Amino acid sequence: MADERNQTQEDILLDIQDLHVKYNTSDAVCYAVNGLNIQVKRGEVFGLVGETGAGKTTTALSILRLLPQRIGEIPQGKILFEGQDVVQMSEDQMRELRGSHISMIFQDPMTSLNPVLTVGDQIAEAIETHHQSMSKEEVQAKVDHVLKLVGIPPARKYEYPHQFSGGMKQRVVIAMALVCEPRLLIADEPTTALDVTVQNQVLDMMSNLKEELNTSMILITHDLGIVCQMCDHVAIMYAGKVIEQGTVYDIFDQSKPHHPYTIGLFGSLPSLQSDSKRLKPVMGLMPDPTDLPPGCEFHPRCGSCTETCKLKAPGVFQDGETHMIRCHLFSK
Amino acid sequence: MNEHTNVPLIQLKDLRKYFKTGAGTLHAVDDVNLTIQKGHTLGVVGESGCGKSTLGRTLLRLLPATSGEILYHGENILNYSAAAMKKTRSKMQMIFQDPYASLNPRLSISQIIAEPLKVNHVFQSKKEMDERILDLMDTVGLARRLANAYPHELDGGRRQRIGIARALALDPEFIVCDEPVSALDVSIQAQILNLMMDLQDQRGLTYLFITHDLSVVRHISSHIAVMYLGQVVEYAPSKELFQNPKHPYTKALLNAIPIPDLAYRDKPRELIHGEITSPIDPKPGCRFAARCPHATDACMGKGIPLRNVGSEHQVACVLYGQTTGE
Amino acid sequence: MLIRKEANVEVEAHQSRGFWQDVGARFWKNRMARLGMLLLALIVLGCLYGVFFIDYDTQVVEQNVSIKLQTPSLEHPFGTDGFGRDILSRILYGSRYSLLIGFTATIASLFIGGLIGCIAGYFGGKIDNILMRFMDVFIAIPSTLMAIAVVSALGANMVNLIIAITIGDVPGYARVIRSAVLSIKDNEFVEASVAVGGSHAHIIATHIFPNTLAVLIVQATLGVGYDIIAASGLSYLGLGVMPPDPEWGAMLSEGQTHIRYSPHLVIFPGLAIVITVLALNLLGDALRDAVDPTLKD
Repeated sequence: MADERNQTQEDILLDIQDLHVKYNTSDAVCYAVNGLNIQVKRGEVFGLVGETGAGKTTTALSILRLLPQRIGEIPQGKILFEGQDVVQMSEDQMRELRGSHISMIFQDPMTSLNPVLTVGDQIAEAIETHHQSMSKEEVQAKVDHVLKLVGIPPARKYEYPHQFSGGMKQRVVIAMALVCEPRLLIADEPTTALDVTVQNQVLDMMSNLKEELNTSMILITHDLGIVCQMCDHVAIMYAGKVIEQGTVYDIFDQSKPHHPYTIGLFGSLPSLQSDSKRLKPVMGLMPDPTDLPPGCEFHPRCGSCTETCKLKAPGVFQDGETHMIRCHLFSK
Repeated sequence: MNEHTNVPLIQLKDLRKYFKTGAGTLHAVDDVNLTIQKGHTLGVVGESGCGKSTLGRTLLRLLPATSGEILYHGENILNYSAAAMKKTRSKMQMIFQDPYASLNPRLSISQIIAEPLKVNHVFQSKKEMDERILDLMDTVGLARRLANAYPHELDGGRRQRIGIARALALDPEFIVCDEPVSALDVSIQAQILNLMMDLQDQRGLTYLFITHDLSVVRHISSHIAVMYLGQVVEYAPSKELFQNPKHPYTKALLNAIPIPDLAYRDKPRELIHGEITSPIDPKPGCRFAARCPHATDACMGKGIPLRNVGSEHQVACVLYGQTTGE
Repeated sequence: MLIRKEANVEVEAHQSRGFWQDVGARFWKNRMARLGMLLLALIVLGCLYGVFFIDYDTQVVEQNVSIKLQTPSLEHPFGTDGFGRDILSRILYGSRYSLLIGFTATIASLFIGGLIGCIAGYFGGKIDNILMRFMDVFIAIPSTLMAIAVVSALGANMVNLIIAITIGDVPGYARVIRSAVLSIKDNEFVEASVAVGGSHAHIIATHIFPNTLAVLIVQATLGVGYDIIAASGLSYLGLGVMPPDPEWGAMLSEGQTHIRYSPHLVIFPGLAIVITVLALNLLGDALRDAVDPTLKD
């Protein structure tokens, strides 16, 4: 732990600098991501937390350059993956990158698989796309290997997706994402569609895999419980910006200072341990991304809002080495 | 209120709901016995496919029951005629899970809230009805200016408020809430939960709260029933259930929830294996046995009834309570 | 969805309006709807002119071979046909047949087919099976053959022609509406209506029917044009409007023989059909959008 402090450039796998993403629709411009800075180190699990419309999925799609064509645009910012800027890459380079170096798993395992191909064929296809020279036997051996990794008996590779249960399907999807041993895995709400006992199995498998393959992971979720159990680093997003960021020990330590939105998020959770009669959620709604409020985006919903908050966007307050908060409350 | 204190508001006796499928008979709800007292909230928890939504719908006769009794104020509503049922419907309402699918996209907010009033001919004049609609919108925290807006123009939280206003329109006593907050973001979810609890306090409502989220159910319920493959496997006051869970499935559920607390971070996960299947022609015996770490031969062969293991605490598991009775 | 349109609807709070009033307001906002209305108004005016000011004996059927196959001139704006009859007068006069057949057959078949489809889809089970198998029997018989059978059994006149076309159209509408109903009735809002005590008739009228409108209207606007053409085909076979009555389709087929040197014989009746169908399609599209509040106005 201690020597991680002296991190060099080498340790940083993904470095997103001042990323802006907007969607140009016919009737409005939607500002989805507005100056996002995050760094993902090798071998760590990075949690991206926020509610619907915070820009989590947009960020993930930007990393893979999968934003909707013509509508999605990155006007500003860099996404450095191993030092190379993804934003500037050609489409051919991107195709090389996707799947083999960075892969992504989506929320709904039911729609991520092709119903007319066997599970084994689908995984094999993922391999063949990136390793054309591999022989049939090698590919099949690899399919067996990756299925074993995700806890599915290799004999089941001859079955079709509909013969698998929800949790098993999500395992297959994860197997497909991992088969080329990517250095970064982006998981967008990977367990939201699953039942808790199954979610627990899948999360357990994912943390074991991470150890085994030394893959970095960006875990996108709205579930603070999952973040607390899985992640090393956490960024909390609101209206396309990171409003608080730190190690899991910074964010989940109630004695440390926190952004008012973070406090509201925790106040929204019904507790399993203590009795509370009323929840203390953030009031109001996410701002309209086509018409963001001036100053701090959170000020209309904030209990500690001052005049400064309405006019000026807050800077970053650094609390210790790893913990940062974007709020005027701490600016002195 | 006084004369009814002994009769529970809702009582289910041996309620069954079977579906015929190509593969056999699906026992979606099997021999469920539950009691809900007036003003209480009974939480029904379980994973998808455990029959909890079917239970809620059968209870309101949205689905025909296969057998059993549904007593409302001591009377079996399954024997009611269509006309009597229509009258009772106004006292038993439902809030739906999906705030998108449960609102007709072609109707405006005020038209949606007006529907129960119109169908039951509550008001003679349109003016009275409009006033009532605006009142209901105030009650659930919807701005009056939204009266002519359409559902697609609103976010999930506001849509769910419309659903609640519609359920409240006829002044019901009892509301079945089918996962009313599962589709919402946490902060919105908390706003809706607060609203529902306030409404319960103000109007003395009784809820049957169906959810898969244990932290939500603990927060809102006075009693909890845990369902697995169509059967209630454990029933207890909610505090008791969380402090002293008995059934291996309840324990597994509780252990599976990721808790946002650093103290739980490095604890090893306790996994149960397998996934919930569907109860098509189930064999007699404990339906959880296939996944249960404590399963023995005693779990198979014959049905395992709910047994009392404490005051108001019942478990259907061979590990507990050999004594039956009241 | 990546892009979420937020709720910033500034609507004045006032008494609730009816569904159809909202539809009317949205319809009138649409520019294409107004164009369609204008075209349809012109067609109807032309039809009325034909009814009141054109004399059947002298202007529509009287033959004058000395001026046959004239190209358009001031005297005969659309020219004359093979028997020297004025094409403009014949089109104006004939519009009554074409419009009557097109509209009546479409509305009748839509109503019957829609009802059958609604009932079959909503109630399902045995009712569905019986109704739809019955429809399948009709689909199995070629529509022209069916029309010939109907007309020869009942006699060749316009009413029987309409009946023949209607019978041919019903199964198609029934199938389309049934599948729309099937997808709508599984929505939770239908269940919600049952939960507040809504009757079957209420549910079909407020929840099922309005949500099938989009499909229904598209079918209907295509249907009118199709029926006009079907009627002309049958007239051509001598099963409907009899010569020398100037039904548009019949005029088209008469003009065929002269298409090489006197194309105006086909062009003008053809244009009449095209404009009518265009007007109806514009109206239909606009109406479909108007009944769907989820589209932005």
